Amino acid sequence: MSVSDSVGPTTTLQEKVYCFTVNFNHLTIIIDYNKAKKKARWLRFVIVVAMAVIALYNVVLALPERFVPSGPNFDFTGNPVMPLVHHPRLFLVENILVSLIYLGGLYALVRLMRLFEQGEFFSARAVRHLRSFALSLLLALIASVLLPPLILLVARALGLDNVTSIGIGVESSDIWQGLISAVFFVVAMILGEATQLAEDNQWIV
Amino acid sequence: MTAVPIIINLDIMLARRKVKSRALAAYVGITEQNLSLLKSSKVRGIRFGTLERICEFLECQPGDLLEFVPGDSTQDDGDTLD
Repeated sequence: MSVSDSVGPTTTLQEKVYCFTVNFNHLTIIIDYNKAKKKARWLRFVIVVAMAVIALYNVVLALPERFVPSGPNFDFTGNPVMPLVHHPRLFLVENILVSLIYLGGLYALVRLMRLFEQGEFFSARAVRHLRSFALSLLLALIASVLLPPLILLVARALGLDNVTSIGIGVESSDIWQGLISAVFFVVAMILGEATQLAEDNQWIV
Repeated sequence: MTAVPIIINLDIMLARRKVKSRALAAYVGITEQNLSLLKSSKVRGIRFGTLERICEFLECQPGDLLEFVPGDSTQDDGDTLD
């Protein structure tokens, strides 16, 4: 449809103000809902902090041991996964790669929260961002399971780090992560359906 | 959006009753833009509540406002039967 128009009816419903804006080229529904917007903003800050923590953790992990703060009650060095337990440098590589996937997913979540802050709750973009986050969880899971043996294989082929055995390990947390990822995929699917319904509803006067 | 087989004769009724769109929109509780979309049949549906208010204001029946034109078909919302 080539018509580009903006419709802005404002309706008061039980003390909640909804402001709808319709763009006929890309049908998106803008809901001005202050409470949800405020929560989205806080959540975005929390996610940004989580991203910073992940990045910081990798920086600390990359530091030589003498620079890493440690004490009897805390440990910043991290516990390598089973196949990489004797290869701290390879563990660092694996950790950075998995962290990058997590950071990508969290960035998608930040963008989703920004859309929510703008009042765009049901849109194709929101569904796409949520799906990206779910996919990042799944990819991170696959990477954390498959990367250690692959990295060990490459290191052995290149003659690095004295690799003598290659192992693969799946932990219970991996299964939980897979389930959580599946839940997010389902939520994204439901959000997609809701978007379709909301778009249809916009054409009903 | 393709052509709809249901034609909304709202402008005809407005002209007959000598009523302005703005007055009708205010009475029904919708914006003039939405009323304009309704008049040009660029909507997928109309709520019973909206129809009731329009009929009340224009003192007419739903049949005076809506007209079925055979031949055209809706294909945009997947409601058509095979």
